[in-house]
Amino acid sequence: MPLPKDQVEWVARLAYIELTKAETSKYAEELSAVLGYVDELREVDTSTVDGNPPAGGQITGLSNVLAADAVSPSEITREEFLERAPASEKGYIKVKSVFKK
Amino acid sequence: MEIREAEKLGIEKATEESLKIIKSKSELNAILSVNDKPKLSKSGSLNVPYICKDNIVTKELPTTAASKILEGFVSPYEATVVMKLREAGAVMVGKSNLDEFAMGSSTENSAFGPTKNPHDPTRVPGGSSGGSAAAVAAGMASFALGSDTGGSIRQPASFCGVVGLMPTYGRVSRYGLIAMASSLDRIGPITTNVKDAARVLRVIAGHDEHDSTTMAIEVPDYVAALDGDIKDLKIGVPKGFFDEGVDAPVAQAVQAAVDKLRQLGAIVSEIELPHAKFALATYYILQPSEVSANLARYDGIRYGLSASDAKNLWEVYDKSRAQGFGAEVKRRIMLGTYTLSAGFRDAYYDKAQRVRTLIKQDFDKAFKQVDVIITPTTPTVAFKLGERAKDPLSMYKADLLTTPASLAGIPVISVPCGEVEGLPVGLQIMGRQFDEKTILRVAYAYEQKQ
Repeated sequence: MPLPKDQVEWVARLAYIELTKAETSKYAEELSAVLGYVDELREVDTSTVDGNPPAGGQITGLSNVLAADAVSPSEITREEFLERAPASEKGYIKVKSVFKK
Repeated sequence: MEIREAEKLGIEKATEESLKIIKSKSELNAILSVNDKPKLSKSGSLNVPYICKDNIVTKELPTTAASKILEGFVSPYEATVVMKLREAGAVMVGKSNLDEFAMGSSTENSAFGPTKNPHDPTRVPGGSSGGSAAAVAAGMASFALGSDTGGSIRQPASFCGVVGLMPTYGRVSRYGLIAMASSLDRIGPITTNVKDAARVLRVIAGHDEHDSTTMAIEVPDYVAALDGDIKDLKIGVPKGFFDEGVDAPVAQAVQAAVDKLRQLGAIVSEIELPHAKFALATYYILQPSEVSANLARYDGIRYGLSASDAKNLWEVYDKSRAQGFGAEVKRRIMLGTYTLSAGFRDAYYDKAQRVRTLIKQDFDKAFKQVDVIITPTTPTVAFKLGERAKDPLSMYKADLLTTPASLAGIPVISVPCGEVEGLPVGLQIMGRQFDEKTILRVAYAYEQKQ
């Protein structure tokens, strides 16, 4: 079943990616093809796997790796961060206004 | 250029030679930035020139991940592996091309143009570490670093006729590797021979407090572990990895390699990995899901490309990401956003995590009977440039045989095992978690027998 275009638009909005109309149609087709393929997992019996949510990604069995709750100086200076930002002012990263004046 | 050769030349001459070949073979487009006047150290256990995949951050050269969104970006810090290599005397001569953010199997998804296969420039080098594999195959350095999430070290190594080693998940620090799918991403070496892979792994492996997934366990002497025969070693050959979707001549070349190992005294038996056939589908749910989270950080605010035509904050995000990311990256971010979204998460992401556990359990069970598992690395030899670029799903299927081990977290080495119509075939040797020693020993025994 192809993904409806409004679903593609909804996903693009969630992902913060502006799409052209042509891209929306193209991705509707391509995402549908991949989702159709991965659908084969539905037939796998996974009733023996516990956990909710399941811990499939903890592949080495590690859990809760803790670090000391201590402050240490950054190896990177404020200037080094700021010089990489597209815009900065008075030692801060500058962004477009969130609220209208 | 083997490590031993470079050592004979000495670091000055070896580096000079490296830079000369990088220049003379620039038409391969394997290298994105060159370190023309690198600082040479004169000693160390690995005092040779190397090339670093451009999704591993370095201070002396830009790090782009082959994406427009990071064009020209120079990292304020460097990766643990880069630091370890420098301390061992290795000299970074360049950064290599890749599929954008390591998403792809052909290096055609690079924003800076595709890399070409040194064996046949009309064909892809594989991906995503295609630049690293092509560079090593073309003799541009003694070794290269790659990263592997679903096959990105092994598949290009196979296509370019070199050795590629994906260590166990947790063996090598990923601090400074640009995160793509964090539960799968690994760093490993691409080399011209097995011993060199052992030498590089010895330097880059180990616990790192900056990567909490690394294990605080001993790093063995991998080179010393190469010697020793493989008599009575148990090799498992899984059903289903040699037939459906696998080209017959590739399967035959690998079968011949298995026969050689049998002649060396190994005991070969057929095994079953019943859920491995679901690995590709599992991978293409989990990987995009993690991508969608990891790549949320590219917002046009703190670093990288920022859209100049944005009128408000939301447009900065929407337009910077639209202009900065390539088609494949957008596709996977959207796919992952969908599979993690409310209402679909149980059916896709959670289901895939459960299947991942079943795949891991299959391997655990198999490794109770056998010491290593052998399959082809890839279903085909290197395909033509452009051949699969239009159909994402056909490109994803290049990862058919490499994704099971990615999901299971186990170590794998791919070594060249002959040619089909003049193009290299790869032998994939998988081992138990943290048992890189055994796969290296088997690979070395096979290499010496050739």
